[in-house]
Amino acid sequence: MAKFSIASNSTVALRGGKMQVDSTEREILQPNSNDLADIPEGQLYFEAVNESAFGFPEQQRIETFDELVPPLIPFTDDRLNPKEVIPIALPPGVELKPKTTVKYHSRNESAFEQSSHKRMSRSYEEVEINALVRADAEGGRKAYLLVTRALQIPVNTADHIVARARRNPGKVHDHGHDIGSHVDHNSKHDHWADELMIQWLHMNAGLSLPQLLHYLNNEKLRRLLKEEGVEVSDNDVTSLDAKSYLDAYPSIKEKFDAVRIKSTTTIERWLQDMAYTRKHVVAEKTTVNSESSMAARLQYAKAIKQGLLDPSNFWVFFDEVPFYMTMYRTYGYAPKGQRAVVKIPPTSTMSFRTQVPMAVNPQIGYVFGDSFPPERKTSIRKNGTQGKEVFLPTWGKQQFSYFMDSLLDTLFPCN
Amino acid sequence: MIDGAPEHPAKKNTDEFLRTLKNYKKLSDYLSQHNGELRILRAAPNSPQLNLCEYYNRTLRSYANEKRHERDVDPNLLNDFKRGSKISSRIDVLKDIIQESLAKSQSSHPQTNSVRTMMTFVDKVIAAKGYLDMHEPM
Repeated sequence: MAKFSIASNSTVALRGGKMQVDSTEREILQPNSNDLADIPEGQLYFEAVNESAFGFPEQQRIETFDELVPPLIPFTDDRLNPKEVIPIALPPGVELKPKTTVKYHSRNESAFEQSSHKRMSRSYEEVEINALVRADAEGGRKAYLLVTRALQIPVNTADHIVARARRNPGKVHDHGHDIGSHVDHNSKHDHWADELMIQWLHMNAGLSLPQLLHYLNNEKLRRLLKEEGVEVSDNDVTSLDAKSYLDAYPSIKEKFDAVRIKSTTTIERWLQDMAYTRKHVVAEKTTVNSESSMAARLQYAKAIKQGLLDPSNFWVFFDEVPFYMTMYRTYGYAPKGQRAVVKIPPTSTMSFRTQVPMAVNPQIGYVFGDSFPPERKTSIRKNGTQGKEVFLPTWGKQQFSYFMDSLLDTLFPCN
Repeated sequence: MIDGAPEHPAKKNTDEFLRTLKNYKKLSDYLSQHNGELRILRAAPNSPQLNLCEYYNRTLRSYANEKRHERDVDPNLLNDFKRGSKISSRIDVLKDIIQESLAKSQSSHPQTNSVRTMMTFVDKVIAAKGYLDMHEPM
């Protein structure tokens, strides 16, 4: 069945015949030839029923079927100006398509108009492309331009299709334009590359683009070696001695040079395609998921869940956070090409720590908090004499007791 | 709920530590009146996602950063103070910033969404038998 484009919010009826209508997918399926047999010639036309801006259906007879499909012969084109008409027999399976633009009244009219700025993309089936190529072989450019006209294919597109077919006879289908497949059969972007990059970056987000490129090329070489029957370890991606293998197997070197990735920009593009962005990394200690940590965490999580569900419990969560004198935002605005600069006091970043303990409750939020800045103290030398004055952190067991006392005072002020 | 920081009392000394507090009597009186009990839970190691206070800490840090970069506060922190009092003066400015941020936290609404996020992590940790996926956004 041939598919006809139709605007949104439109339904199409076929007077005097049967027609399947699917307005949601904006497609009309042409009835089969048996349905059309009962309809007298000349009475077949389309009628678009559109909702007007006021909600009333507005009927308008648009075009007859003959008008929808322009006659193939004769036609004149200023660019061609043919002296004689070349009859073209369309191959079986190729049908004439109606015009893609249909007159209609719609609130979304502008969205579906085919302007020169916003041309709707269209894919071409293999039979259409074959028709073009065959016409080119039989009658040259004049011939395939006639087919172009009949099939509503833009001239530039037809030129490209024919040029590609002339370059690669027998390979007319462009797999690179298949929907859902951005990987051409000649592409270096192997399907396993994405999976591997996801795995590697999941284990270590700090890998750089050159490292990813190096590992992927090693993996490509490893696969080529295996194809050739060379014994190579499956887990040898990072430490694979590519040079020695390539020196030892010159035939593989040629193949490898054809498929190896040369630029980190390629890796960057592949990551962008997978919605990977560069961001601040979060450090994960190796003990986070150790056996003992996981056991303690599971026990704690169960206790939390059970305890928080009991409304008679009053939870107080406690923790401390350090503040340093050099604290500043790590993101800022600056013109493109310049660094974002923030001024800080002239001290080392981790000195003069002020500890801020805080207690919170799930229902009431903030309960109590305090700050414990460093205090000026005089250091004592080994010989017992007084040394320099230094600022030392004050947060310790004594301060913790003081904080807990203050917290209890806040929780039970009346007693 | 407290974590295992060195300033905090050891598990075996918790009761003794509580009795040494000046306001312990207030607590014990309240608990005896209401037939309640106090339980100190130790936070799991390396699990900030499971401590509600961590979420409030982040908010506090955000408030403090906002204050620190204000046009009238920023020069104070960077001011060329008198010789001998540069560091102490800057520490005082930082203390003021923190106190104002704490006051803002006190007047803010409870972070109910943080409780939801924490409970999501709790459920995931239980389902994964204690495994914590650090890739999950906090």
